Amino acid sequence: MNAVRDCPDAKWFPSRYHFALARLIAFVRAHFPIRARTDVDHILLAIDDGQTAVEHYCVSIWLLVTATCYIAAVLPPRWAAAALPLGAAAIQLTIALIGTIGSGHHLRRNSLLLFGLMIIASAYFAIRNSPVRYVAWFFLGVLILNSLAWLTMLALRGAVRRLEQRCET
Amino acid sequence: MSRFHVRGVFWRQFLVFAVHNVPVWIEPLVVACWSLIFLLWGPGRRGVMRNLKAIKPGSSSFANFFRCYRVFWNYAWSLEETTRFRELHSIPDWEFTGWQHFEAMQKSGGAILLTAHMGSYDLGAHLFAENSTRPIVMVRAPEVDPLTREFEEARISEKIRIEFNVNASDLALDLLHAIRDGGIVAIQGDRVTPGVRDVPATLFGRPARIPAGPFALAMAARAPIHPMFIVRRGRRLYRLVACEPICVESTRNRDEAFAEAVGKWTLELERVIAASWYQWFMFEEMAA
Repeated sequence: MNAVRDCPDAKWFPSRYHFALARLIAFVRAHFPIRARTDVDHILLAIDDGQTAVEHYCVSIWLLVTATCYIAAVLPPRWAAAALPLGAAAIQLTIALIGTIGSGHHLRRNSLLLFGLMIIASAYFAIRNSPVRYVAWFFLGVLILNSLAWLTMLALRGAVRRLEQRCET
Repeated sequence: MSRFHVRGVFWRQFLVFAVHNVPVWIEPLVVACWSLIFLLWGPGRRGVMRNLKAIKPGSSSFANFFRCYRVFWNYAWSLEETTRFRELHSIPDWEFTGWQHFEAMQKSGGAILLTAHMGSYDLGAHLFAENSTRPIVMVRAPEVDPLTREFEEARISEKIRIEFNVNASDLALDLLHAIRDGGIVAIQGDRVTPGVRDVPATLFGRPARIPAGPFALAMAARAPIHPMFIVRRGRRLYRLVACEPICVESTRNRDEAFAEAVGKWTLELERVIAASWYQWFMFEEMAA
């Protein structure tokens, strides 16, 4: 169990974020003052990369919107309204299908496979002559940005370690 | 009971499968979809909507339908976060209010922790086990479905002693001994399960039934009752709200002492539920 007690600074520790872009934003934010909590007596913050709400809600909505646009692009126009539930179902069915392969937990494998499939779909739609190509470019653009953030975080790993030592007692 | 019934074992197994396979960044989409599917569970939906009518007098059924979805959404998250903790040991963030009451409970020689069907009872119990120097005994209603019961019992943590309230008289003696040995007994005091003795109470101006066990136990053990609530504040964020202890006087007039203690408890319960109605996981009508 990895958690820190009564250290509000930990809220912006990059280790609490999943994607490199979010980690980089958190690292920058951590250098600004953090207001002490007065509404509670104590806090306990978990150091886990799946902890933050905003990051995961944003990624979830973004992927659903992207999948919906891709499905809408291949459906006949009068079926366009079905793209949203089909998009949600397609993502979950993919997870369920790949989840049945092997035993144990496959969070990392499924994560890579799902992003891999989205990259293939984005590459396909990016070269189509329809408005959906903007959605595909945006998806690929964010991925490139995330890769650059990953390289930056790699260079900053010493500074991140020092930052996260703030809450060590 | 069919394994595909809403309380059947299939959904528990499916949740464990999901926790091992759904990447964290797609969880919100999955939870949103399944909360919508479980909204088809008529008896649960109607129970929540009737309770919301009492909590929010004058509210329309149309608005309560969407509020009901919010209750299901929070319930789905609580189940997911509890299962993720059990299977992958990922803990949520915690906030504590009323810490002085929590400390008072730690210092008292044995106590009763009275809580409600809010947030995550299991996550709260694990937090106590990590922070408390005293042994914790968790009392809970057994699952209706035998296969679900078997599945859940196989996943009980070794750090916590769990007692199922199937045989009230035997359990009462065990709990009395646990309190006298300095332990903390955690009980949910907002819902009466079949076969459990109850006392009349008033919740949001409506007649309701509250379990008599915690109050009888407090009187017999001469131990205080500590109302505590686990409130889910957001994704992987919970708040422990500890309230002032309730003492049940050992007098000849048992009914009067009970009524006074129940009155104090329902007051706290109403205050917390009114502020956090979206996570009171009461799927039966409270006055039923």
